[in-house]
Amino acid sequence: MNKKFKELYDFCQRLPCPPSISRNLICGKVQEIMGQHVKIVKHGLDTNVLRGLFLSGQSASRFVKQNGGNPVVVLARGMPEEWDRLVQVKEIMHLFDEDDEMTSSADQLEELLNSLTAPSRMMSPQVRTEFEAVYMALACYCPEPARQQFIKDIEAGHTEEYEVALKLRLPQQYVKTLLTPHFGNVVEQILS
Amino acid sequence: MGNQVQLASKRLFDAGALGVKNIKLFPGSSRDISAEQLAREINKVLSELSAGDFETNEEVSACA
Repeated sequence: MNKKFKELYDFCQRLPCPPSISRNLICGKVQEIMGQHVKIVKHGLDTNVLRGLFLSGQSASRFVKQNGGNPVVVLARGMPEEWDRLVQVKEIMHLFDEDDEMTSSADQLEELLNSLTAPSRMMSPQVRTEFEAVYMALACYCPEPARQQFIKDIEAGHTEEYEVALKLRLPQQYVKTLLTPHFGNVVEQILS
Repeated sequence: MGNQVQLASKRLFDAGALGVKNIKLFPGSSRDISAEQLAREINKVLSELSAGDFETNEEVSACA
């Protein structure tokens, strides 16, 4: 991942949380850091299959001309807000993909699609960044001090994952990921 | 490679086609999806983007 993600991460760590962090704030900062606008569109995707996607084009390509020079994030229409928030920020994290992490050929696309539908022992850079982008999005939505406090409160029996999910306005199944012991290690590896 | 996967690849990457340099995905809720199903959704998106048939959620601009 591009080293500029650290700039976003450090920015988000200083944000008060709770209250929940605005996705517009995170996305705006990504755009400022990377010097790129992003077009966000809604589409009638079948959410059983696909909740969202990210597309960017080679310069002077038909894709770029078609979309005003901007990368595009597509969100499925009708998702609950917590899913909209996670999918939008996870997809915009792919602005930080390095060249060798981009899905830019038929072979890479086929491997990516197969890896999302069946377990695989080998993880290509393209597939790795799919998982990393989720962790990056979660780290932006929940600064580390807040994350540690949530962990303490859950261990003490003073709250539960559902309440944390409501406070962060994120899907509960991803709050589970956020509060695991290895979450911090994964984010450290991404930042290093 | 199935038909939908092949079609998506050609539309995304062939010379003279869209010239996409990066595509990434957020899978849906089903545990039983196939590569062909994913590719079918990608193809639907590409058709609607090309036809201008979408609503803009918001254009993200730098926060003040």
